[in-house]
Amino acid sequence: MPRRELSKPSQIIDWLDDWGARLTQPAEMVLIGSAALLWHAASRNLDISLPENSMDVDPVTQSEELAWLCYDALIGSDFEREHGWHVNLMPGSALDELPSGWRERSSTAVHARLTVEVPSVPDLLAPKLRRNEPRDRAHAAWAHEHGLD
Amino acid sequence: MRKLLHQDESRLEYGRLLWRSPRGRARLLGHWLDARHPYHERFAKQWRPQVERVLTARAENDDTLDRELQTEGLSLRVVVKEIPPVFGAFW
Repeated sequence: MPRRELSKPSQIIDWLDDWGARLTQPAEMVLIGSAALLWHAASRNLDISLPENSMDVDPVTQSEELAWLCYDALIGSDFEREHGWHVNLMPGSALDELPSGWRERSSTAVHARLTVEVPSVPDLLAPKLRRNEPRDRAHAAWAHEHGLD
Repeated sequence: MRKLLHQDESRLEYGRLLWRSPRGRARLLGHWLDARHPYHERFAKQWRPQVERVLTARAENDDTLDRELQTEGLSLRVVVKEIPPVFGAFW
């Protein structure tokens, strides 16, 4: 039985590994949102759960092939039924909400043909803290508790 | 042009990305014209020409396109909202 919803760092790495292997051409993605926080936890080998599960991941891409994979993983898709969460393609302008210079502080990882760029934790938290909803504050506290920020 | 909501901007941005290829155009049109799509009649009868025009246009020309649409009583913002969503259940 697959894990329902998104809560563990390994779910993000498994997903990125899978898609990187499925791509036929190199593609790039910027990953933001709580999935990106989980990516940072995975990069530190932390097996921790988000304080509140997430229903989706938020990638930005300019790759047509990667966009196809994302469309096949939208809400209501077989992907969502299998994984318990879906892909929510974000427009490039979503990156404008990150603090200026975020690319200089971001991390990059290669999963086969997929290159993933992930903004730093403080940069990821900045738009969340501006929104300042309870879930956003919980994610910020979680990141601080585990030394991610 | 006024700033779009993320969900509208996403439909425009990725709709254009897929629209570039014949395969992408066929898949999107097939989905939007599918009888199961709740907006298929609205798209087919009222908005298809404008939506296709917007998806075919290049992003760097959006301000010009918006001005042209405004002379026709529309706007880019209005047409983007008529790009039908994609439903994963029958995509």
